[in-house]
Amino acid sequence: MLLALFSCKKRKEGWTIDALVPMIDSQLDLKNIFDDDLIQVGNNDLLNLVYQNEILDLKLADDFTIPDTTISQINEGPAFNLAWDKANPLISDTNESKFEIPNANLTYALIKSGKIKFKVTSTISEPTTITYNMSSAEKDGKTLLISRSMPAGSPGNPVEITNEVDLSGYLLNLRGKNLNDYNTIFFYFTVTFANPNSPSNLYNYTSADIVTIENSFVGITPEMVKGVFSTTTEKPDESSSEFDAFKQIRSGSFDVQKAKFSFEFENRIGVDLQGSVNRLSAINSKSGASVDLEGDFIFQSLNLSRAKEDYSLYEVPIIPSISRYELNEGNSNITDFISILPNEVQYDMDFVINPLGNISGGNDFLFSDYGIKAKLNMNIPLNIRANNLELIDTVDFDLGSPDEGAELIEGGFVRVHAYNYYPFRAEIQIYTLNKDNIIIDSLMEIGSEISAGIPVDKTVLEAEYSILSAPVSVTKFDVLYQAERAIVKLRFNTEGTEYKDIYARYNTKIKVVGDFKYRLIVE
Amino acid sequence: MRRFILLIFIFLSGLAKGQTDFSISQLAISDSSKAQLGLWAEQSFNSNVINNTVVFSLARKSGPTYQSMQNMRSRVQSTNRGGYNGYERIYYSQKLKSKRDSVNATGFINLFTHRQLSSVFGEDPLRLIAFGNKDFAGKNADLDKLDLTLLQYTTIQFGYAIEKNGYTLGIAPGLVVGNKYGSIQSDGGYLYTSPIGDSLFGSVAGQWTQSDTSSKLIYDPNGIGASIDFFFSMPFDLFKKNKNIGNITFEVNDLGFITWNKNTLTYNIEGEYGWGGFKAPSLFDLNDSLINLQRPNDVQQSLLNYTDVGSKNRFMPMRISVRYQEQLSEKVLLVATLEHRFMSQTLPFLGLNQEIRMNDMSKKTALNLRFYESFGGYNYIGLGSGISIAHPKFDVIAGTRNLIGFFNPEYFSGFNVHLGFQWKFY
Repeated sequence: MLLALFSCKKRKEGWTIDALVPMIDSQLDLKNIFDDDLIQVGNNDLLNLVYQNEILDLKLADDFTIPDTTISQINEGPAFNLAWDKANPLISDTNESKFEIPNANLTYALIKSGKIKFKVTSTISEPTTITYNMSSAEKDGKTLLISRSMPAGSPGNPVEITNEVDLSGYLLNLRGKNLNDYNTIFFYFTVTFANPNSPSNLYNYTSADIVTIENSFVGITPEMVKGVFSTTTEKPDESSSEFDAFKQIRSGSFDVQKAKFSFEFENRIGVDLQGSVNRLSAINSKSGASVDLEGDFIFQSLNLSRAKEDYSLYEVPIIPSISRYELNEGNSNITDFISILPNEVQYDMDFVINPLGNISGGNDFLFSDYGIKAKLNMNIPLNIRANNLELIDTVDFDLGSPDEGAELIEGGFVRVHAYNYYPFRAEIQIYTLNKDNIIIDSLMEIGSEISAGIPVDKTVLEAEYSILSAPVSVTKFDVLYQAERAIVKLRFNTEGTEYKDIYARYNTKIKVVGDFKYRLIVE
Repeated sequence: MRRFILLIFIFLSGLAKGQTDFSISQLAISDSSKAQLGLWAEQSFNSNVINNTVVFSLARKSGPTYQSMQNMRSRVQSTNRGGYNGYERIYYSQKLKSKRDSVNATGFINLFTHRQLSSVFGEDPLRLIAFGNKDFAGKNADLDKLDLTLLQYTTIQFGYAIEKNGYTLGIAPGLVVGNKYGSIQSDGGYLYTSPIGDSLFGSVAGQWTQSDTSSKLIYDPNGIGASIDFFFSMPFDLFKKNKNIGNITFEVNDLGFITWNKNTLTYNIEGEYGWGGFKAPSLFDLNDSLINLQRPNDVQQSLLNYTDVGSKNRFMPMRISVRYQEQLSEKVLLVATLEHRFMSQTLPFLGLNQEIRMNDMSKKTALNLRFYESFGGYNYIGLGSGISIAHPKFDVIAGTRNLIGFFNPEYFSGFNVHLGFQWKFY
């Protein structure tokens, strides 16, 4: 009998108890739903949804580039033979050349990248020394000076040397030899004999002695240009920008009573600008809804002052000019603009450069990395009305391996005890996803809802308690072990048609308790 | 006197809770045989609350069902007991020569192992352990009444008994080898579960002792000790109308001690621990690193005051008994035993046996049916039956003292089987 009782062994030890297990002590607040920096405390503890979005970053450097330019100069010998005293330079010449730069008369250019390529060809029958001096290009206090030896050549067999100089960091003075021009460079070019006294101190200089110099400016990209910028109109290439303030909201509507938008233009170019916003549209690409902004702001001429140079500043010697234009529910349809929960803003705007012409005395400037920025700053006091407002967040989910204790849970519920101050009720559902991001299970009972706090004189003084349940079972655990991520879906609704104030002191305390049938094993 | 003893029997039977056992008085040869060699095995479990299905499932490591556990609810009392006793025994008795014919002397050797698990639980500890803390939502589970002891020892006894005119005196000193010892004793404490179960707070005090934990085999020697058994038997006629005279035996067993070796561990437990779940400033901030940081790995440290390693002396669970035996008629034998085993969380026990001869008296071999009624021990009542065969050259006995628990294991407790065999040599 003893054998009969004890011979059948299964590895399922212990016994099942009804256990209440504290699991999580935490809370939910609006900062969990929107990003932390989107929520700010305003007057009277009222929360504000604050969002800053840069919708435009327009750089104009491409309009003021120095095109690739090649300058060639041929120095031919005299028409009749000369006995040339070799102590004197054979050729000494000054060259002045103009860049074809549209829309600007530049006086200076600080080169970010680019190079000069030289090619010198000579038929002079004795070794010579070639010197190239561009005194209008300066770097670290030194002008650009290049000297190269050139072997002897002949009309039938001319010699050729080539060279390249990196112009990065050079400041080009583009005012020409007499400092009264624009877009102009100049340089000196000399050819001297390498051996003035050998084989004699005289050289038979004939018409067959030809020295050709070819000077190419390639890939010149300025870091800064300065001068006079012509009156032109610039239009951004891109005409839309992401608007992700409501990125976690998937559906539903969100009515606000008040909203404030600040359109901020930041001009870091040393020119006067006249801007115009011809169209600004809120787009919700998920719902297909769109709203065009209406109000005085549209088609208004927006005068944007020029930036200033200040070389005492630490990194970038620019003091930007900032201009703001305020939009609110009184001067625009901004609340309608917000109510569609846009995820994209489309715009049509343009900027006129120096609308009044050259009034800076040639001190217009442009740093290539800086241009015009347009920012849309939103501030919504959270006095809202929510209708099936659905927010979704994705979190990592890892139950661990089955030997970490959870396998001892044989059934029961995960109870979520919620103490909610917010004056809206929230349906909650959690979906688990496998490694292929496919939903494999839902955790909460259907209709699980956190009750809304009840305002008294527009303020909720006492948290509303509710309890939500997620059934667990052995089968469910098998599925949960496969889960790698979870989607938390919250659907908010406010009661009635009144707008509800959301205060910073509000929160929803969450206590998660396991109400399990748990296999207790005593070892 | 007879009425007084009868009254004591009746009175104690109402309180009694315990377990019957082999008696060394059986080793004194009272018939014409010169020597006897015997084997005895007995396994018993009983409890006033833990039903047989639960016990069998736990023993098989198959896990009792939730419903089997719940079936115990109605039986939970303020004090709850449960215990297991197991014996394996081999003995040899030899009649010794005596200077006087009127005196019978017997020498005997008795080698046995006793395995015992005894426990007493207050209502709260039992409910907490058996059913979980959900019953205690919003209140304390008091843990002050909790005592559990596991013990196994092997004894070899060298005994001597003399009999004259129906009076028998026996004594059996023994050498004891301690095999296993474990003990959990609570000195107080409680577990508080908040009304919704979002926090637990526990405070415990007590000791937990274990013999050498490196020892793996069940008969490993982990302690040494000494014991003595003795008995005195005398004629006593309780049922006077009967022509036979009865016999009453007073017996003491396992009076001794065991010194458990220097590797014996004693954990002194005194501390508090609270747990309110993993805390996170926001539900969405809860991640693996936060959980790992707060994982309650320090529970043992919080509760363990200090650990002591060293030898420990413990008294053995001494048993005292009074047994009355009388042949009520030619075919009916009555045996009544009142006994108590100390340090076993049991209360006194009364066992009644009736042995009824089924075949004709003229037959050389007696075939007997045995009936058992017991009161107490670790439970209230037990009914059982068995058989015995008495042949001039051997005796066989087999039976159980608990049949109720067999037939309805979901609601009743009690398990006992015993099997004995004895050869007689002339």
